[in-house]
Amino acid sequence: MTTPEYDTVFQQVEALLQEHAQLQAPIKDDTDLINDLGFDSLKLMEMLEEVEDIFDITYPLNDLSNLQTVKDFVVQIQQIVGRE
Amino acid sequence: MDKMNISNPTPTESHVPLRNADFSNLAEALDYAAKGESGLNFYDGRGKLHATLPYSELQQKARALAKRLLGLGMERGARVAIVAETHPDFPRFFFACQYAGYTPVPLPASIHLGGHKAYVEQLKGLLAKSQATVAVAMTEFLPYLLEATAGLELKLVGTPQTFDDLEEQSVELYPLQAEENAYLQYTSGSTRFPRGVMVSEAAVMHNLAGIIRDGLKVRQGDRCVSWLPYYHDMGLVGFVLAPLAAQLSVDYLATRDFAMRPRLWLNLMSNNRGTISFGPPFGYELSSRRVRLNDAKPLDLSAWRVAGVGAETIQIEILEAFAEKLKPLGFNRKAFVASYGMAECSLAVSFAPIDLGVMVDEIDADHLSTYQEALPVADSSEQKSSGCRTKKLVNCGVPLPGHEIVIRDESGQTLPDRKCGTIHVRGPSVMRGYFAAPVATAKVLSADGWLNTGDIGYLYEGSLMITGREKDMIIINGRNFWPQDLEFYAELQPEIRPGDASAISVTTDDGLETAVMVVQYRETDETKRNELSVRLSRIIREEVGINCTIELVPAHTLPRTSSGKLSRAGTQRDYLSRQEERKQVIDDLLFEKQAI
Repeated sequence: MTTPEYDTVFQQVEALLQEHAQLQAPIKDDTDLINDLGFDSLKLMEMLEEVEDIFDITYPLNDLSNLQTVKDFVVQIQQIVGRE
Repeated sequence: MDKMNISNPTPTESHVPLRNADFSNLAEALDYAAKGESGLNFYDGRGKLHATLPYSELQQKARALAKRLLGLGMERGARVAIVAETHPDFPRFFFACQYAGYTPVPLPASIHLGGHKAYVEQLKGLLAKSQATVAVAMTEFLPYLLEATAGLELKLVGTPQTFDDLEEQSVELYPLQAEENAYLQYTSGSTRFPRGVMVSEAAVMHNLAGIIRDGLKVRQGDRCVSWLPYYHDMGLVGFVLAPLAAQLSVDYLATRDFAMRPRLWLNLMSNNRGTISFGPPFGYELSSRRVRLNDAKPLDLSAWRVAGVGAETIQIEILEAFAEKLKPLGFNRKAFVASYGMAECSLAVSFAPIDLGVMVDEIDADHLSTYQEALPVADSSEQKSSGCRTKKLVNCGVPLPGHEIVIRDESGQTLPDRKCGTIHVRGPSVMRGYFAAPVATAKVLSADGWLNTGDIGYLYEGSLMITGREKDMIIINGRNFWPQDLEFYAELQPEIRPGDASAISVTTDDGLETAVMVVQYRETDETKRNELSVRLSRIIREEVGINCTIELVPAHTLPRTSSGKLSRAGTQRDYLSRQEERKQVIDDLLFEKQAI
């Protein structure tokens, strides 16, 4: 599949992050998932269920370990969609 | 025909007579299971079957791999570290070690948000501690393993393919025998000071027989379903070794897939008519919170006869919520079976009787905390109507045959019924000790075979109730944390001296646990105080992967024991009473407002 535009993925991810975040913070490229939005692995898993359904992808567990900012997350999703 | 899908899991009926783990070692147990048709099944994150491994195939593949491993010329009992993903290669490597005479060491395959560095450090520590000679990881985990093994002198590190490329030796296999280590189980305790439990073949076989015959009363027609990780005792002993030693089929779901889609667990139970599954309370909590009953396909959970609960102290409310929610799908609350166990006793120590559901002992909570004695409260008693606080403790049943439990006070005296103290266990499934750690071993295992579990509880007519688990342990979402590991990060801060931080766990109003660290800090400047709190909770989220509440208190606030050590029980008690006071103040303020 062709890699979707960054902004398109960002918009979809933004809505999900707002819904699942434990802390309130504006969602920008460099917003930190753990420190600014209060995610932990389990909370993120809940959100990933929706991410996988929306983008029709399988999110590799390993990608979690290198995930820090919103931008990291959007880029990861772009890459996975492009690959699959 | 359609795509290359594997469509059929291994059958529930093995078609060989059921044998209850009456084997002299694990290799012999597999040799017998291999005569039947049952085996292991692996489901993916969408609930589709992606691999099957009948025991006959596992036997043949494990034997072939054993002959390849023997070509490496390792000494007998050498440690083979296996990153324990829920994948057919794990049982293959584990049993290759059984046949070849090596000690398998399951390593965690758990990755957390932003946890790359922490995970590599953890692997490195475990590889060094276990003195592993070789290490294997599936492709996905290989980069982490390679990072962790850099600088360590291992004979071979690679993917399963790396080992499959070795030449098969034409030698006789001589499997691990009764008195040899069956595996090394690293306890889910401290990440900085991991302890490797040595379980002999004889011990694990004894425990398996107890689980199968006495605890679960396994019968023809049973089928297991599990999402528990292979690197935990309940996942490994309970849902790899026990089903195999009873020739039962198992349906596996990777832990991460369960965490993402808890419904997959229930789907599997329903579709494959699963009868036995276990989980920590957090697994039941996650399921009842996230599973929506009106999802497309109706489930039928009526075959589920053993819904085991263990691994943490059990909050009855969580199980009640699960049973209530899933009742319309045929879930029978009498299927709940409470159990008590630990890796140091292979897995299981006691089971509550099956078919009765969770039984509780309702006691006077104030009397318990003041006198360490569990006085029962009758339903209609005066005490209850007079408003004394009560506590429902789950009955974890009587010890497995051949095992004894005693409760001792701090001086080592055995306590009578209903008196709370440290739980000690003795019997044939107890470990040989911690690997290469004689001092740690001597601390918990006496010369006459008593294991000090560190857990707190009491006995009543032979049944065990747990009032507090392993001293000070913090358990969040099924992961165990030692307070020392959290305090370590606090003490790295320039403002905080050793002994100024005390980490505890606190149960929130919804029955879940949360980590709290109470820190002594003299600074009165609000900005600085705030900065420290934020920094500390950020570091703990990053390094440990959990949310931790930081409370700053004045110097000399933290309670100490008579020998000057931090008293975490005291910290917890004081924290809770400060919280109560705060609530009171807030209530008073609200009340005042209303009055105005």
